[in-house]
Amino acid sequence: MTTLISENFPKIIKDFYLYDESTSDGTAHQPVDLPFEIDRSALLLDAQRLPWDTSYAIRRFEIVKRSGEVAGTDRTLTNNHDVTAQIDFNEFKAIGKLMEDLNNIGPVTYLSFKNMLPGEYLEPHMDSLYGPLSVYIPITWPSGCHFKVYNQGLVDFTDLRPNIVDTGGSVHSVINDSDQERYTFSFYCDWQSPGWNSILRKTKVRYHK
Amino acid sequence: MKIPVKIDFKSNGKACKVLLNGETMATGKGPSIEFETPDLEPRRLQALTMVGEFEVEKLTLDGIDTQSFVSHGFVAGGHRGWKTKGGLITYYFQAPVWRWYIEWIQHDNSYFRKLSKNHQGFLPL
Repeated sequence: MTTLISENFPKIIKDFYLYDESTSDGTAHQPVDLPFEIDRSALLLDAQRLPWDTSYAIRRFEIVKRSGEVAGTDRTLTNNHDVTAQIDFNEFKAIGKLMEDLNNIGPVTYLSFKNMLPGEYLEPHMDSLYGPLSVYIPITWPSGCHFKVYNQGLVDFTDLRPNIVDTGGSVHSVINDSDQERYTFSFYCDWQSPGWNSILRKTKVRYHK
Repeated sequence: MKIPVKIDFKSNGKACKVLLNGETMATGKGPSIEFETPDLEPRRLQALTMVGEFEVEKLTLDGIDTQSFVSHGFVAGGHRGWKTKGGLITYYFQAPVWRWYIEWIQHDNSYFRKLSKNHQGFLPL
């Protein structure tokens, strides 16, 4: 699918959105339903109060952190590090409930919130940490926000549905071409656990390329 | 399709020559050289060669900053990199640049490349 975006984005992004006319066959991203209600109004209030880390390309907040420095592939392969919550879940109750609901499906290995301002973007890239598949859930998705995967079209966030996305195996780019802030959260999980595996098996998304 | 090329580089003050598929496109002492290519056949491999003593800092093809690809030039002596002493350096690319560059990103971040980078540092392969 081709998308015309504002002139102020870098040319690689404009060309990618304009000339990559691909559509999704479901192997790189697909909407999924989770077995609990997501209270987006409450999550948005919590998210807006997070102490955002501004050292990344877009504002990010990692809900838990591992002890010790674990880098590269070892980050994916090493599971024996203590994990510490970075916020008090009594103070951020909606996020606390979200963590509980997600972990009730199966282990969540990483979760972060993202806040993308109008005009911000992530150039085409592949993620290199934690695992191949992540789950993206929009809290808000203003018109003009796009998440595009090379040769696999736009990720479908209609009705703010969660999507499993092969961010580790597919080049993708995200932009906010709206005049409003965009809030999302995304996470990695143990896809071999029964709960997450049953969700993945209902999709066409490929675990390995 | 014709595309603009811009090469930012440091040199030793002597002129540097730029060739595309063996044809001279431009010469200059830096800090940058710009020119427009002849018509490029889509998906055909193009060889962009710089001759002289220099260090490439940035390579912009069709208005697209190729970022870390600049480190992936083929230099004299069978090595890879972005600088040479009195030799030449060749970058290979295709038009359209956006598609070639995204596919290069995909290959440069393949599972096997990630393992190499994580455990052995940067491998310019």
